[in-house]
Amino acid sequence: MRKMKTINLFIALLFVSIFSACVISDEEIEVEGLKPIYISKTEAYNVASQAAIPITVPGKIYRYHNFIFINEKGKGIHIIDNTTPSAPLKIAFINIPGNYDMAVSGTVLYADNFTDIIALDLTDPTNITILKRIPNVMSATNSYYPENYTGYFECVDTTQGYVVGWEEAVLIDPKCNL
Amino acid sequence: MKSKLTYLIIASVMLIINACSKDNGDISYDSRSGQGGSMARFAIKGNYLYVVDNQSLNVLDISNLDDPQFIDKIEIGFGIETIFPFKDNLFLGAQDGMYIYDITNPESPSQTSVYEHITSCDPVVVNDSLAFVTLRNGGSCQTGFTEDQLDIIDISDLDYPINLVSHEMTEPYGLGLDSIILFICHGEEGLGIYDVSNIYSLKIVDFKTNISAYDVIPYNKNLLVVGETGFYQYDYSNLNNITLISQILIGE
Repeated sequence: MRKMKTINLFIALLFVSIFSACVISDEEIEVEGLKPIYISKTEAYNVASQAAIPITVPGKIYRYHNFIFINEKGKGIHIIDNTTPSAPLKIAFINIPGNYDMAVSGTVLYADNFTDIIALDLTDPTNITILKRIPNVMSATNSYYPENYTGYFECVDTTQGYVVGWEEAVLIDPKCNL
Repeated sequence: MKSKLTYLIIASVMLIINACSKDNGDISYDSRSGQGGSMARFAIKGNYLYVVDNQSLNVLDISNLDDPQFIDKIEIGFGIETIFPFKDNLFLGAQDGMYIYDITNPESPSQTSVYEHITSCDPVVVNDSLAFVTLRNGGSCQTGFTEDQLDIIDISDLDYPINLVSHEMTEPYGLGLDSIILFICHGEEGLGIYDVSNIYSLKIVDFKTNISAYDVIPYNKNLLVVGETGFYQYDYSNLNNITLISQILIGE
């Protein structure tokens, strides 16, 4: 009896799905896929020093005299005073959205801020200032599509800002797929 | 007795000279700028900052540090991942090989040669005659064909890089070289320290298993290591006793 019910339900569902598929195909496709999570350009350009924070997702490292810089993937840079290697001291965190790389010369730190390269004055690490921004140096291929993914996704609209991630969503008539 | 003293003086003078030249000899970075790991995409050489992105090599003039100027973008290929400056050359690690660029004319790097290999992720470090390249599959570098390995390449003639030997390696990420000591990050497996004086038969000096290692910077017998579990510093002045001197763990 219970089995019968299940079969009925299954048949009913099958009809519904066939029916709805027909209806939708006449108008627009509705599928599950991924859509980009954006960060606005205003937020993306919010580069500033803040108090030291815990390291959570470390990326690359860079050494300059007694300082060590550790990238926090996509978030910014931890500045560490390593005058005493047995007791390294986190002195500040520089918030740089979309950052993965860095290099230092003199008192200037060069870093990527999404596709831009910025030059920061490090004279006072706890209060850095932007000296210059060079827009669109880096190509952003990786952020135009979700990595290691096959299926539909919502095309990236660069006017909405930079892509910081992807989330599952029901997409209507997606024009992009992998 | 006199001759013994003379010998001693000569020996110590030579030692000092040797020490000095060694200090100046390490020119994969210059003193005004710092030193990155093998996974770096940024490299400073003299008055220039070189930045690789997925397809190209970008040249920026930083002779005025405060006011960098974009000079040129050189299209290279696909899957460029790392840059390692050494003397008048840049060694680019790409998914399909190692590209060597001559920067004698710093504003217009020119391609000297390419050492091609099967698609994988491959940071590179070099000395005067050898390039060490780790090849890793997995993540965004999957191809399913190559074994994870370390390629040792003869670059004494930069026009014709030749693979001398390949060693199987577990999940190699970043690497660092100090004279005959090669540090290789093995991700979650830990950090391997190898003696490469005989490149055909590497000797394991030490293997640190209690850490996760992604990239390293060797400097003055002090090794900086970063990995998913945190940041570590080792003293490797005594290779028989490589000791952890400090750490900043995740969440700290």
